[in-house]
Amino acid sequence: MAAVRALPAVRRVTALDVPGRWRAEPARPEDVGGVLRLLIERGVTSISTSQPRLEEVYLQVVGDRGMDL
Amino acid sequence: MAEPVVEAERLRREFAGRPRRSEPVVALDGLSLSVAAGELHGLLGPNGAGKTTLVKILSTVLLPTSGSARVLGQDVVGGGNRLRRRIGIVFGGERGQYRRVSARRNLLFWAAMYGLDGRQARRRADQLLARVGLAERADEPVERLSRGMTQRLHLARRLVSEPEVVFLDEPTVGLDPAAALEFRALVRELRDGGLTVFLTTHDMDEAEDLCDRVSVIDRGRLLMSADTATIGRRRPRTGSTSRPATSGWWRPCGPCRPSAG
Repeated sequence: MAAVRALPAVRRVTALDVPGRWRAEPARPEDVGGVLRLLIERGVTSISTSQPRLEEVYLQVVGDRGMDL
Repeated sequence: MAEPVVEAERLRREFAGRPRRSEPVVALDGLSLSVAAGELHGLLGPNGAGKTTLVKILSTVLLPTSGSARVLGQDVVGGGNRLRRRIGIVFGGERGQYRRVSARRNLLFWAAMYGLDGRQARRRADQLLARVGLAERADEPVERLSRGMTQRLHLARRLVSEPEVVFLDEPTVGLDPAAALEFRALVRELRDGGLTVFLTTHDMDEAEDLCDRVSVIDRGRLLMSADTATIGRRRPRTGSTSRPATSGWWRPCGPCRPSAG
């Protein structure tokens, strides 16, 4: 996952609860293809994609300002 | 996109600073936004983002410092009473009912205020009580109703004038989950009936569940607007199902994109 994490197109990589499963967030929608290609090249066998949930979008655009209030 | 019924353009609202000679507090900072006819639009943002200020300006309760806004084609500053008859507003935790009087009598009172005669008022009150699920409790004093019922009565009161746009400012705040669910069902029915609904909320599930479109604001500025259809409602838990993640994804507004970090 270090190689994925190092990509400028990847905003964040987080480990999921299930061992061996990770979640990579591309910085922009158009980066999804490149990230998927890299994952396949590295031998990842199971990939799923999903759009962000509203809560994730909200936290992304508002940041941690909500914590200050 | 359907004709916009709510249009805000470069709205700015300042409040006097405290102490008095300090810098003014900027609640809205050049905010522009539009809501299409029949849309259920959600407005999200942290406390102090400017949500209530925006709702108050759009519903003619507050004047903007600068900028303009039109609702149903009428200027919110000059529209006055004509516009007020065509809109409704419900605040969360509202206390604007006569609590010792029955739900029905409250509605009859408001119907009279809107100029309905006795027969029209009774018919409208009966219709609204049934619509918000209070027909069986109609003759009980409001003080005996639960908080959820009282909030539904608030909504009924705002529907007396048969508004075309309803502003709901955190309407489910403080309601228990069942009452909130019932209230949301009512809001959905209103939208399905063709009403334009402008809803502020902190509840992401509520926004995702109800809204056709959402906008996020902070520090009085619009950060993003998106159709909720383009935002994933549930992350797949297992398997290798895929769907295109590149089409119609949300994007922050260019000029007001928050700085990184």
